[in-house]
Amino acid sequence: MPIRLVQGTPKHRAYLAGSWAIAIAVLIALPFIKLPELFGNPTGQVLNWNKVLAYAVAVLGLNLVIGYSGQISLGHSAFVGLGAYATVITVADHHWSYFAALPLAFILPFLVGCVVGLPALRIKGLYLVVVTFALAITFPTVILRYASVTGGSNGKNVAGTLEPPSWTPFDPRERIDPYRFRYFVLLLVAAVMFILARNLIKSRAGRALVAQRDNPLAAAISGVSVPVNKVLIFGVSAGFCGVAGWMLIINLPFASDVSFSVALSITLIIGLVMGGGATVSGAIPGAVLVVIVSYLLEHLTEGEKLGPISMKWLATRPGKGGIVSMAFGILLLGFVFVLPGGVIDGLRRLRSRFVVIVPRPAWLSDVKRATPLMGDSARVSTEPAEAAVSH
Amino acid sequence: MTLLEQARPADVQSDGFVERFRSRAADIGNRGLILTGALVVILSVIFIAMDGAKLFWIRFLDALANGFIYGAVALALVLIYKATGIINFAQGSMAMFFTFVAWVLAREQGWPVWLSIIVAMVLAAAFGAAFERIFVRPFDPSNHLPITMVTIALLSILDGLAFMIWAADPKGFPSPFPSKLSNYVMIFGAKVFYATVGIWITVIVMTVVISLLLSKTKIGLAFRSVSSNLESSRLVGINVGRTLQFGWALAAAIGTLAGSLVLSDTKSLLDPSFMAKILVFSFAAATIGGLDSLVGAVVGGILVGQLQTMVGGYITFIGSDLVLAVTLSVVIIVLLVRPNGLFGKVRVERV
Repeated sequence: MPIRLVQGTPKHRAYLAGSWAIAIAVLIALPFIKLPELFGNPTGQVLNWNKVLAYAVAVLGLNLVIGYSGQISLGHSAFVGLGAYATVITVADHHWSYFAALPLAFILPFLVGCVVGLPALRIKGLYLVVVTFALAITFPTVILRYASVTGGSNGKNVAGTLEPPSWTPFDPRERIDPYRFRYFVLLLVAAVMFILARNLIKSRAGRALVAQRDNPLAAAISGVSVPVNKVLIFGVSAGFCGVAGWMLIINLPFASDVSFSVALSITLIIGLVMGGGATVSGAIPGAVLVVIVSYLLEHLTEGEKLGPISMKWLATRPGKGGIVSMAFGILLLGFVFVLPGGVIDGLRRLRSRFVVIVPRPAWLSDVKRATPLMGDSARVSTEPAEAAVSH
Repeated sequence: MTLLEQARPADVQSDGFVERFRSRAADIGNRGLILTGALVVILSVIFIAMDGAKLFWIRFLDALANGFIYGAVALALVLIYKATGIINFAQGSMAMFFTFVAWVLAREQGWPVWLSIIVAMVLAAAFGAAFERIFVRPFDPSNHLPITMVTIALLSILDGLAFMIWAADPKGFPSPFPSKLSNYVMIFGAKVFYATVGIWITVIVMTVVISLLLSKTKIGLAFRSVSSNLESSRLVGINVGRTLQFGWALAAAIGTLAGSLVLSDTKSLLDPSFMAKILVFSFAAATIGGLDSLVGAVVGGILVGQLQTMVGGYITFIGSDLVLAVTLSVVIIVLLVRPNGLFGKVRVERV
């Protein structure tokens, strides 16, 4: 029998506070936990967690467009790339600090996103997909064209990584500590982005967005400015992806054209579906799955053994990298069929076996709210009477 | 009395008002078309003035073959879009994969080129039909998001699989047309290779066959019915699932043919990503033409092909690298002026 928790009761509040405390504790402990050798050496593990954070923000940004506004975009790899290149170029060539580049990594993709989303002012549905797909294919060619600025096909790197300042408890001479420091910087940025996204969705603008996704015409009649909403949300989501690009550069200060191809867009979409569309928290399991699956497969195809599994037969083939995109495709098919709501939906269903949260019954909330009101009105009504008496 | 009679024809009749409104909408539509035509003519005149008529003519014929190929792939996209309302992202990957199958048959098994292309087309059609049956039909056809996700999954799987089997090194594809350097005809002073003429003829024949298939056969009638109104088609007893399956099979076969045609030009080589750029130009073609118009797809393909060659050739600062970016901007501009493309239907929606 599942436990029933009534919303707003002390028990429910304790449950919420407890789960938040556990989540925060896990996030803080993550770079200090040693996972089995399977997931690489300790430094590699922290690097992977950093990648997870960046991917989570990117998936979150994509979810604003796909999950909440119902438009499909295949072009978000370009926005991630834009954020990454903006960071690399300003830090390496113009000697900005990494943190100065962060606003730029949001604003630049935001503006480009608004321009690309502009056709959405006039059109609806799948035309935008075409534009974004073309954008994703175009981005690497633009990078290659302006090789003097972007480094072209050699890629471009920043000489110095983000090092922990002396006032932090992280020791720069220790091998793993700078990575941990960057993990916490990224965690902070990711937390801010998640809170921003959550507030955006809970706000008037977010509800308008969902309304126009479900029925654009009805939303327009109810006073939602559908085109403005669509363009702005596209811009904001592009900005989120730009920040994700900045995070990738903090993790590994190197950008090249191949890492921001359509394949990245598809990876993000797959992460979105695996995590759960139209949820804020779904971005986290989605990103974890994407990063872990691709990491494990890359190592398997290099001939390493992971427990009982080995893929020796594949290791000698030149095209072994294809297995990652194939596995992603199969995973996507599986999720769309078996768990269309993603991991988050699965977790919710699992939770409902043990804990059921029921809304506060009407009589309970009525009594609580009604008592002070009645008291107020009683006081208000007596005051003039008293005043009258005193006169 | 006289006042009433004067007022009646134009203002009182409600039909007259609707009619006038309709014709105004049509005017705006025609203006868009006229504007596009005028722009094309002006650009052509400028280009001819720049480097002479002969170079322009050569480039025009050169671009026509590309344009026809984009048109063919766009046709396949539009077929699926018309029937199901989704964009098949796997179109390029299916074409790529079965072009590889044709390559295996022709090069490794030593079959005649045409036979291997046709066998690959049949296999592609069977694959498309089977895929539709297993992975697309379980979903409600009016719910587009999961079906689009399924096509993205298919894209990912086929790309990965092709990469694993054939790796990334480019391979030469045996041309189905005579492709010696001496095999050309002169058309008004421009050298046109047989391969180019072959592409023109193949695409034209294919388009005619498809339009006959859609207009003269029973399954074609069913297909047109389903794409115009899914619910009513179901009510009059059309097997909607099977009809959509037909659309998928046809689109897969067309894609394979288009993929092989791309490679009949000896300059292009076969590798797992060769369809990606073609797919983008075809998407652009289908979008410019209006996603639901078969004629629009072909015209859009020709326009995009010309755009690619002319812009790359004449505007030197753009060169061949930024052609994609220019095409992208043109698509955005066309969509801003005419949201339903040049030939697309304007849909009226009710709440």
